[in-house]
Amino acid sequence: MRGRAVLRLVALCAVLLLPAAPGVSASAPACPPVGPEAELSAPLPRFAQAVASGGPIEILTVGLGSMRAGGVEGPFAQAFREALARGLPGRTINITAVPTPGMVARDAADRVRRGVAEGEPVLVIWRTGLTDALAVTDPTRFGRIVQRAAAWVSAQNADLVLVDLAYAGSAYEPTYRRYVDALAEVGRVGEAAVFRRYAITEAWHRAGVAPQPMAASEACLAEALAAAILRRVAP
Amino acid sequence: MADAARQRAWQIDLFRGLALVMIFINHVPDNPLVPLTSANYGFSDAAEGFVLMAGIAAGLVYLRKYQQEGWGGTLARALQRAFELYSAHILILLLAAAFVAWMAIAEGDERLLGWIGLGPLFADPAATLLGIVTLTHQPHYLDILPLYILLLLAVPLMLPLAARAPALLLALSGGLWFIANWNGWNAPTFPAEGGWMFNPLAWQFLFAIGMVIGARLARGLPVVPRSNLLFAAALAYVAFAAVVILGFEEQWPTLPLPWFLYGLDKSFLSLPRLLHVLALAVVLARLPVAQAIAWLDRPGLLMLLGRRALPVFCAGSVLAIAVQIWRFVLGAPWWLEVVLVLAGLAIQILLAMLLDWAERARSRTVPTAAAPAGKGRTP
Repeated sequence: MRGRAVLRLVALCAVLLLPAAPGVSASAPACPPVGPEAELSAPLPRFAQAVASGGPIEILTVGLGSMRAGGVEGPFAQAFREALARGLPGRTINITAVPTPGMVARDAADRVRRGVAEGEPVLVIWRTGLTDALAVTDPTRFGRIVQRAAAWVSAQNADLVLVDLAYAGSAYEPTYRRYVDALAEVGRVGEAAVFRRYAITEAWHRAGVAPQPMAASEACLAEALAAAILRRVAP
Repeated sequence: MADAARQRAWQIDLFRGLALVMIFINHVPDNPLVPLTSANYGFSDAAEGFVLMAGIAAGLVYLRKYQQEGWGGTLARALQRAFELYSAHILILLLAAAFVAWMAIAEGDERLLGWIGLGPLFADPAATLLGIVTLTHQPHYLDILPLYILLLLAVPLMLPLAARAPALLLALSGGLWFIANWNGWNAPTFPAEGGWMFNPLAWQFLFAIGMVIGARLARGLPVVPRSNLLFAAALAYVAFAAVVILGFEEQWPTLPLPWFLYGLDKSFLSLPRLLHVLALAVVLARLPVAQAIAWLDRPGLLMLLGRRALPVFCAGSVLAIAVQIWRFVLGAPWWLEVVLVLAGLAIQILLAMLLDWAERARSRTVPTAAAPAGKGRTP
């Protein structure tokens, strides 16, 4: 028992130390393949229209981490921006990043509303669920808060993509899954598209191909998200 | 201190103690006791009340210091207090990070390291340590003390105006609140982009209002005009906010106005939140609420907590994170959540009692250093 705990400690320390290299590229050269779970759960009509119009594209990201190069939470945000720029060459893409460090959905929803009211984006990407899962907020209430925010964003003529949390294969997956399910339910109602990060990482985990360290996994997910968004505007 | 101030000081301690209890309960989201806190019935929450009362306490304490020892003495005391708060902030952040790291290791779940926004500390410790010591990296729930440190550093600048030209202080402070909101100005964060959770450029206005109130209380001057119209307007606004928060949040309108004038934004202390805490203060000052709470709390536990606000707040910050983590790990049913939260509150009360006992013991040991009544109160 003690031996397993020590092994776990050593493995976790290794994971913690590895991603610390500054200046590492956000791009992910060797990402595992993704399956149908990487498709968005709904179309993005306003974003598609903005792309077709040829003008600048305003995007708001909430809770996706920093856009600053080399930023600590950068792998996802940086890789997403780079992948989107590659997919839409020559287009002006303005991404406004709103951080929500450690905020539950109730607090982050205010940030979403302010960001949309002030920036008038056509696409909002909101990563949520992990903080609520860790804080064990009421999953039903969590879903209702996100649903309300999604309806509000939709009323402002913006598409919303919800990004759920990552799978890690721990004993607490049933807890995390309640929040994943709550977000999926918001997607089923139809006022937001869901990017199923949990399902993708679970598939990688089960296939034994999950990228390590975590920064690489985040960059791969960001590329998968950008690709899923771009598939929704492809002619 | 004038008699009126002495009479009112216990109310400040009582409401500060109440705010500390509510902050602790709210820092364990969605636990069964949360419906008992003010955040569920209005635009503002206990954080606004805490900062307003901190301003009042600063006005009361520092005005006396200013009159007795001049500007130099006030500056020295404010610097010393700010350093105490800074030390406390670093300590509780370290304790919280160590606790989270322990749980992540014990449970073998890397995601736990992301608790309350601590993730960057473990993912990029070199840059994040710089952010911690410069107060530009603030994990969630540990973000109010950095604001308080800056506000204390501003006390020597605000105090002469609060004493001699309160209207000018309010105009300057309100102007800064408006400009910061209008331009989206906030103190920076590092290494992650963004701004402070409690934007000091915005929240200083509430502290300044509190200082003006405190300075008036210290001189026995009336604070709230006894106007029935003002009371009715405040009561109506508090009721309106309760109705909105309880049922109509999803219908929040979009108006052709800057968001901070009609939207909810805690970081920038948007106008609805600011007005709500002030309206609540008007209502509480007019109604015998403090007397009613004091009657219910006959042992005086809330006043005890309010007198020991800093150590109680620090202990509460770490305990709230511990309760969150235990709730998660244990998959706690509702009754166990209640037990955990009440146990956290009990520890804070015991801490405050211990500090009172220690101060009394010191006073007995060194008679010349005997503390006057209420010495434990700190801004």
